Amino acid sequence: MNIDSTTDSDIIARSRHDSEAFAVLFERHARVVGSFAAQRVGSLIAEDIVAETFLVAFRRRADYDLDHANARPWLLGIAVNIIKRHRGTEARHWRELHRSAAVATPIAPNDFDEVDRRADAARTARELLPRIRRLRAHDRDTLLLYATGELSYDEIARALGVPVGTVRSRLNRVRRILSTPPSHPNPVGLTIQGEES
Amino acid sequence: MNELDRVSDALPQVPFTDENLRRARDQFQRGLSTTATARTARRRWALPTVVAGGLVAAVAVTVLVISTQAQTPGLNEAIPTSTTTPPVSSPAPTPSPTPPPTPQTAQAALEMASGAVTANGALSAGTWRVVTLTSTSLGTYGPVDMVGIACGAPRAEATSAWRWTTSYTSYVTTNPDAEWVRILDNIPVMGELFGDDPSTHAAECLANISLPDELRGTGTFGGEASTGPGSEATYYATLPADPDDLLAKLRADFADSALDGVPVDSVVATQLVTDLQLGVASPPVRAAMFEALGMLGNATLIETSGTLATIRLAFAESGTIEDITVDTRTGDVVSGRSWYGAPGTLVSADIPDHEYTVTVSTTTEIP
Repeated sequence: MNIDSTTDSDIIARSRHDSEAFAVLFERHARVVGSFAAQRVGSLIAEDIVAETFLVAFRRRADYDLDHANARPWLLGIAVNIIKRHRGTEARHWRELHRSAAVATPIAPNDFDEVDRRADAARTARELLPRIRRLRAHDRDTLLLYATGELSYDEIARALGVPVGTVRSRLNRVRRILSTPPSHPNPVGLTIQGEES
Repeated sequence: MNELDRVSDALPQVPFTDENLRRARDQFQRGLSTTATARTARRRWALPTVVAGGLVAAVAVTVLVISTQAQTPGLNEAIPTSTTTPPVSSPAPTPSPTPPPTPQTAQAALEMASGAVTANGALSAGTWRVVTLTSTSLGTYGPVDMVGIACGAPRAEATSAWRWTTSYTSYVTTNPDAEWVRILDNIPVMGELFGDDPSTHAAECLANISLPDELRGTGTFGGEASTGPGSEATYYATLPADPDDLLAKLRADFADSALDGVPVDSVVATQLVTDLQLGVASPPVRAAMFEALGMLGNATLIETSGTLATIRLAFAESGTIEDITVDTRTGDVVSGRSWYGAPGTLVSADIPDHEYTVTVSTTTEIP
C-alpha cells in the first residue's frame, strides 16, 4: 500500500482487519489534533487528549462512514467531546492565555514592524480572549474548529454531529458576540461555562 | 477582516511540540496494548476496570487512597459508600398477584426476562433511569512485556494482585434532547491483596487511572451531540430489534477481537450484558438482547432464588465466563461476575476478574 496516496477511509477500512494500519492515521493527524487541543487546554493535557482521541477512534473504527475520505473532522469531533471533560482546565487555560497576552515580550530595539505587529496582536487578543472564554461551550467548539481546526462548515457539521445550518447560525452568533463593543458587559446573554471560582 | 478570521490571528500560539507528540504516541500505543489485553473490551461503557493502565487521561488525577492493609478485608468491607445523589424517587414494585414460575433452564429465564422488558420496560416520558453500578475488579502486576506493560498482566502470569472497588451512577433517558449524566465515585477502595508487594504495585498501576468526576451531555456521556460521533443515544436507537440481526451486527462490530485471540462471541456477550445493565434501549431491543444472549456461550442456568436467575455463559476457547443474575420479573440485570482466562495460582480460582452489583430506579430530576 502506498501510504502517501491512500485516503484516511482506506486506512480505516484496512485497520478493521489489520489493526496496525491505524498507526498511519495517528501519524497523519495527531499533530493537528494536538495543536487544536493545546489551544484549548494547554500542551500537556493535549497529550492525553490526543492519545485518548485516537484510542476512541480505534475502538470505533467500525462505525466510521467510509464515504468520507478525510477523517480529520471525525477525529476533531472526538477530541471536542473529550475536551468537554476538561472544562475547568479549559477555563483556567483561557484565563492564562488572556494574562499572557497582556504581558509584553522582549523585541529587538529597532524592529519597529515587529513591535507594531505584536502590539496589534496583543490588543486583539486582550479584546477577544475574554469573550471567547465566555462563549457557550458549543459555540466555542464551533468557533475553534473553524479558526484553529481549519475545517469547512460541512466538516465542522460532521465533527459535531449537527446540521450545517446549525454551524452557520452558531458562527453568526459568535460573530455578533465578538463584534459587540467591549463596553457592553454581557452581550446577548453570554454564559460562562466551565469556570471555577 | 471579519471577527472569525481575527480569532485565528489573535489566539496566542500554544505549541504542540515533537516531544508532546512523542509522549502522546507512547500513551496511545500503551492504550492499544492495554486494549488488546483487556479481555473485556467493553466498547461504549468504559468501566474503570478497562480503563486501568492509563487508557483514559484527565486533568485532575484522582488521589488514590491506598491503605497498606495488613489485614485483608473481605469483599463486603471493600464496598465504598456511594457519594452520589440519591435518586429522587424509586419505582414502586409492581404488585404481583401470583409469584412467577421459577425458570428451569437458562433459555426459560432469558425468555422471561425478555417478556418482562417487553411488557414493562418502557421508560416514561420525562423520567431518567438511574443505574448505580458497584464494581470490584482484580488488578494485576507482572513481568514487563514487550511493550513495557506490567500493570494488567495476564492473571496466570501475575506476581501480585489486588481487588479494588469503585462505583458510578448513570442517569439515562430516551428523550434525545435531555441530558445524560454519569457521576463517578472516583476513589477506589482497596480489598484483598495477593503476592509480592501488592500495595506498592497497586499504587503504581492505579495512579495511571484518572477519570472525570462527572460526565454529562445530551444523548451521551461527556458530549453534547445527540446524533454525532460517540452518541450513545444514536447507537441504541439503531440497534436491531430482531435477535438474529442484533447478533449479526454485534458480531460484525467486534469481528476484530478475533485478531487479539479473544472469541468474538465473548465480547458480544459482555457488550449485551453492559447494554442491558443500562437498560436505555427500547423494550423490543432489550428483549432481543436477552434472546441474543441465549444464543451465545452455551448458556446454562446455575442458580435461582425467587425471581432471580443466574445464567452462565462459558467460552471454552478463551476460558471466558460471564455469570449474570437477572430479575426475571423486571428484566433488570442485578449482578454479575466475569473470568477472562486462565486463573493461575496466585489468586484463588473462585475469585472473578470482575464482579458487580447493579441497582436501578427512576427519577424525574437529575443532579
